[in-house]
Amino acid sequence: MAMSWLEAQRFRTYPWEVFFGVISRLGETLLYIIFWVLVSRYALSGDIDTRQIVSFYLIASGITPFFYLGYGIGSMTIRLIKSGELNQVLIKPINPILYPWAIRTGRNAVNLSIGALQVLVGVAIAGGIAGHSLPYLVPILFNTLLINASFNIMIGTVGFYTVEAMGIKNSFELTAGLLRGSLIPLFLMPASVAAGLQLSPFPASQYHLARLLQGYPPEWKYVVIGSVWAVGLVVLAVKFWHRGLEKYEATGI
Amino acid sequence: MRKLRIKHTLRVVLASQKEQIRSETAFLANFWADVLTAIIYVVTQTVFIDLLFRRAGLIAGYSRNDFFFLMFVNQFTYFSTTRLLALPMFLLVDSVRFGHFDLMMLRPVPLRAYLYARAIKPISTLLAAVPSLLIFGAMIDWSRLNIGLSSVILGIIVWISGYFIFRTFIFALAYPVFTEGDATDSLSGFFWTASMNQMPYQNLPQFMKVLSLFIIPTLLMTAGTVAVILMKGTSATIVVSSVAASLLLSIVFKIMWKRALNNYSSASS
Repeated sequence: MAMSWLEAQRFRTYPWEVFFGVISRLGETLLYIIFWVLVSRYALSGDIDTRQIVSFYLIASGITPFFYLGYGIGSMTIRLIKSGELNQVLIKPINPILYPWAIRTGRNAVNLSIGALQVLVGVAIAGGIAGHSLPYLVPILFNTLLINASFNIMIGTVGFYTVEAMGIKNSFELTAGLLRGSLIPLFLMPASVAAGLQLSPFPASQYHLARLLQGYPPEWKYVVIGSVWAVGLVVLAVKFWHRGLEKYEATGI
Repeated sequence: MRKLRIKHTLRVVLASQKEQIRSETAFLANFWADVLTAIIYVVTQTVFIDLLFRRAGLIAGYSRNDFFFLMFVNQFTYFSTTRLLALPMFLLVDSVRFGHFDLMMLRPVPLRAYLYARAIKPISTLLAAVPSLLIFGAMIDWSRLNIGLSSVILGIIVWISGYFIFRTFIFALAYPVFTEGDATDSLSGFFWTASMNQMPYQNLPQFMKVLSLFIIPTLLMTAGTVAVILMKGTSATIVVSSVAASLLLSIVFKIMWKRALNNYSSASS
């Protein structure tokens, strides 16, 4: 917490970073909203609900910085490994897996604030959180948190094996964007495709939470599948990290 | 005299590009990563369009095929603007911040030509752009596109106008380095403009059309160009407004460049 707070102080020194950060987020949101409004208004099929799609987009992009769905933690870990700065982290009495989270959360302060605002507006457009959604909230938050943490750790760990891990991170980010329904929501996909994707860990990493906040919780069986993935991926990610670290220590410090 | 100067500039540009090619080929993994990302992008976007059109049917008169054409122009625009115009501005900001700009100014070569030639990476640009353009190009049924010679010419005029608008826009984002000493944040902020440009231009709200002439030029270069080429709506308005905006902003660019150099000379001498 202290490290995050210290990192967030940078915005007092660089006010332009805040200004352009806000412009970027709002500009991107504006473009996507206009796109979906045009799609819903001018689609021949005429069955795409503008309110639903706009609120989904706002919530889905709003939760992105909270769970590092852009894999910023993975990117930072890759940079730490590539530059050798990880050495300095390893000799300190801090957890090297959690270190990038602490730093990045501070730097993400602007994105988090705008993200929270987007979620609030998105929920308001959807008509508020429905009472029947509440029992799903904790397990879905648990799944979202663990799955994205695992992906971030695994992407970061790739940095131990190749110097061009950023290319792999970018490719994974693009693929995940499609599979988790942030590029096009699962409710607009053909039912068979959406049902197939629900068996993968991707919808549980963003789509479930976004739909829950819209008042449409997923079926319990998909929540359970998400939990199985969440636990499995965390175990795998931590093991992968330790194996990568051994390789780094052998050739590094 | 003028002929000699052009010849000299071309020699400098060629020499800089040769050096760029040497340094690029020294780091092969870098551009293979670029190629991989570009291909994954094409695949995900193709699936996205396919899924969208299965649900929507037609969007504002655009078919699936028209949307692939929109994606093709979007990719071409993205690579042209980021690789040919944005990269030199990142180099400009860095060279001013770290003092290399003095050395650039001292060289007996046209400063802008040298700056652009030093920043553009020919191999990685080609390797990243060509596969995705080929794939999108292959997915378009060109015979089914509603295009004519005059609409293509007008579309190219709109795209070139957008290119000049983008040149001023990106330089305006880099300009604070001459007054504030840094422009990294403002310059990095341009990426949002390219995040979603695949839209039916004629159906955009009026304020978005105005923004596309000044603040989101990639929207004009992608959606505006395609609307004109495919003859969707009133092409004359798009052509006239984009040419007028590009002429105005080219004058602004010249004034800003002059002021930037004056600021820099007075601060550094």
